[in-house]
Amino acid sequence: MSITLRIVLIALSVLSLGYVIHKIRFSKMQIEYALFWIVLSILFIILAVFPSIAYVATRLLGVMSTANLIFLVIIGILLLKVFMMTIELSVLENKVRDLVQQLGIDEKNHRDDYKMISKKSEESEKMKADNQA
Amino acid sequence: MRLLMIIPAYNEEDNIINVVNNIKMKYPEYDYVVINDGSTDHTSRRCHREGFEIIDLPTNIGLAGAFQTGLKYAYSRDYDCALQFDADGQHRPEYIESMLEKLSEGYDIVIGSRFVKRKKDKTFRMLGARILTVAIKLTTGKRISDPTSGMRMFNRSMIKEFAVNVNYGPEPDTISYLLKNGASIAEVQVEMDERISGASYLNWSQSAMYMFRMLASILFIQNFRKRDSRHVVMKRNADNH
Repeated sequence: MSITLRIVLIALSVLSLGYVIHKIRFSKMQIEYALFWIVLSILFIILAVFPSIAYVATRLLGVMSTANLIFLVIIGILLLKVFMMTIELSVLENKVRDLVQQLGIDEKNHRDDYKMISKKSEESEKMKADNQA
Repeated sequence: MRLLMIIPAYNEEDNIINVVNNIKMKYPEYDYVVINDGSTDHTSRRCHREGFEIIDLPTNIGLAGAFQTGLKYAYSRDYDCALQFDADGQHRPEYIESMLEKLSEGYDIVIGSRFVKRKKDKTFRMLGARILTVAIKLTTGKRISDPTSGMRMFNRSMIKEFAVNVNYGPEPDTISYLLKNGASIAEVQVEMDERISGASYLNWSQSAMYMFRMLASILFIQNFRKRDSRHVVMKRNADNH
């Protein structure tokens, strides 16, 4: 690997970590979710600084070229992440639906209670008036 | 038997008043509730002005979620049975009585079917219904002549099961899944009208998507599901305490 490419890779990985941290701070992302991106960014920096890790892994696993292994691993990580996000999205949607339903039902219950109470108080006023008369 | 008619309505301002007033005048013995599924037109305002029983959902959550709201409501008010009823005037309330009779014979679900006695037309729309009938027959061994009928009646235990679980949309795949898991389902012959006004919510690509979703669900996904309603109910109750 040429020295220019290494410098570019290191610079890019450090920049992306900085960008991720900056964005996370701004978007008030929850730590649980931020963790994934920070770990991934740090992983990229480590790989850029010590590319020999990738070379050794490629040889040990018997993969044809280093690029293949890196693509494979990153695509694998991303697929897993998307799958997990689908699960999270589904859970979230269930929760939102439950909330919306509960809100609607509660509102109707309040309305019905109010109707019943005002009807009762009307009746008792009427009884009072009758008694006085 | 105390019956609750659940009428999900999404932007049905042209039809809903007629449909509900018809029920209120001719069939006052049945309770009803309109579920306004976050309509953007005047569905809610008109219903409130008429003094209808209505639950307003603050945002659109789809037919399945809206109908489930009605079942949760029916469950909380301890109804004996619930009926899914269209807001667009397709369903006729005069068939409710025969459906109630059938349900009281001990069935879990009674479907108001257009094709118990009559044959399906040879239209493209009916082709979809035919395919679903075959798919259900293949996986459950039982024949449902009108799986896409939106007029379905549920007994007390089904109300509870539908109210507390996820993936219980009022669709053919749920029917197939329940059949497979031992629920008893009957069909009663009914007539249905064309929509009074407005277009059906399914266009071509949506129909194709719907068929794909239903077939994949009936033939494949439902095989993985486990019916553990009791477990879920207990867990929910435990969470509440």
